[in-house]
Amino acid sequence: MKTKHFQTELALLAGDDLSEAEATEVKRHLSVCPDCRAHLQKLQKSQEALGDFAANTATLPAIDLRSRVQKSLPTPAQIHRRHNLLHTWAPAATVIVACTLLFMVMGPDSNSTAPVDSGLTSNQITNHSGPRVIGTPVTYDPVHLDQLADPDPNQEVFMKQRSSEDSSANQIHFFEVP
Amino acid sequence: MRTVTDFPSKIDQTKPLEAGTNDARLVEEVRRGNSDAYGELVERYQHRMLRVIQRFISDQDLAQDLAQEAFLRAYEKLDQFDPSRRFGPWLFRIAVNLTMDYLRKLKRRGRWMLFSESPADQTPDPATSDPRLHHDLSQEVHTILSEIPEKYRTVLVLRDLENFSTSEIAAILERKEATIRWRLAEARNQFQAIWNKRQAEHEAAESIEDV
Repeated sequence: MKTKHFQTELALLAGDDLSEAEATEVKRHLSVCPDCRAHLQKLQKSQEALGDFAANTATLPAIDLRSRVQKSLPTPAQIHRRHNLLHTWAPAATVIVACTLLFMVMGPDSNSTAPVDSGLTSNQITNHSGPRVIGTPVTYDPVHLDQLADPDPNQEVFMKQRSSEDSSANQIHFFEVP
Repeated sequence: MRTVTDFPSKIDQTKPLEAGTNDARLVEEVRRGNSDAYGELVERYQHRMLRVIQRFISDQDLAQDLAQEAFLRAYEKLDQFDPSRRFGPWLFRIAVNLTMDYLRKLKRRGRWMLFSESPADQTPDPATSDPRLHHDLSQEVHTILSEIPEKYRTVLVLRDLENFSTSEIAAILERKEATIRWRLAEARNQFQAIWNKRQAEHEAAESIEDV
């Protein structure tokens, strides 16, 4: 368990990556923990292999990137044009993506449980088996119905609740969609 | 048992980034339109950058193309460089990101190999006393590195093969130094575990052959 606890410190110690104070503390532990000493030895061996590998593969063939790069350097005008293109299209693309995402999130959802007018949720309305009841009930007078069927262009067609003197037997109920 | 102080110090194969140099002055000249100053920066960093890229992609032509591309991108983004910070880590961040992007693209295409050419195809270094030993070591290290996850492998390569300091690696990879130290320790422990396992397997195989 102790070795597990010290694994990070031991790995850093093996590569000389601990501060003096940290190293002293770990070395103090090493003097009393044979498991950690054994683990450090293994780490040192693998570090040696890495060091040998690094030394053997450090040499590179002669190269001249300077002339290659200098030949390919874009002119200030080319850089300016690229920046302009980026600054024009990047915000436009961002807006398009944002709008698409917004539509996907806020668009019609038959499973939505958000409440709508009349106290029902859109989910309840969709799954309602009986006649659809949407909106506020409005009572029409039969006289007005005639007007609706054959409207007089000079007279304003309006919907209003039946006046109190009409009998309830003659009432026809519709629902005004808000 | 060998003590900690007996352990050989890290090979001094590279100088710290920007030691004794004045990159800021050159960057300022480039910004004023002096492309020769940029040529000087390229010359200053080309070998180290190429070697870093070749740690991940051993195809020399491809590594040179990526290094060239990294220098060109750095030039185009020079107006975004904060002169109060160090130029070296900023430049190597571009190069490492470019290399990692390339490797990820290859991986997505399903024809990824960590070190794009097989170690078996590499020419042995004639300076090595026993080229076969060098070849075996290279192959072994290549194989083990390819088994370590990318985020640990990158830190291990930059620290133990390229000798960047942990603060430089933190700047290159845009992570906190504490994160880099933790990843480095994890990478070394993983490397050690695989290394020892494979060594034990080789020894067991050799003893069977001897019998």
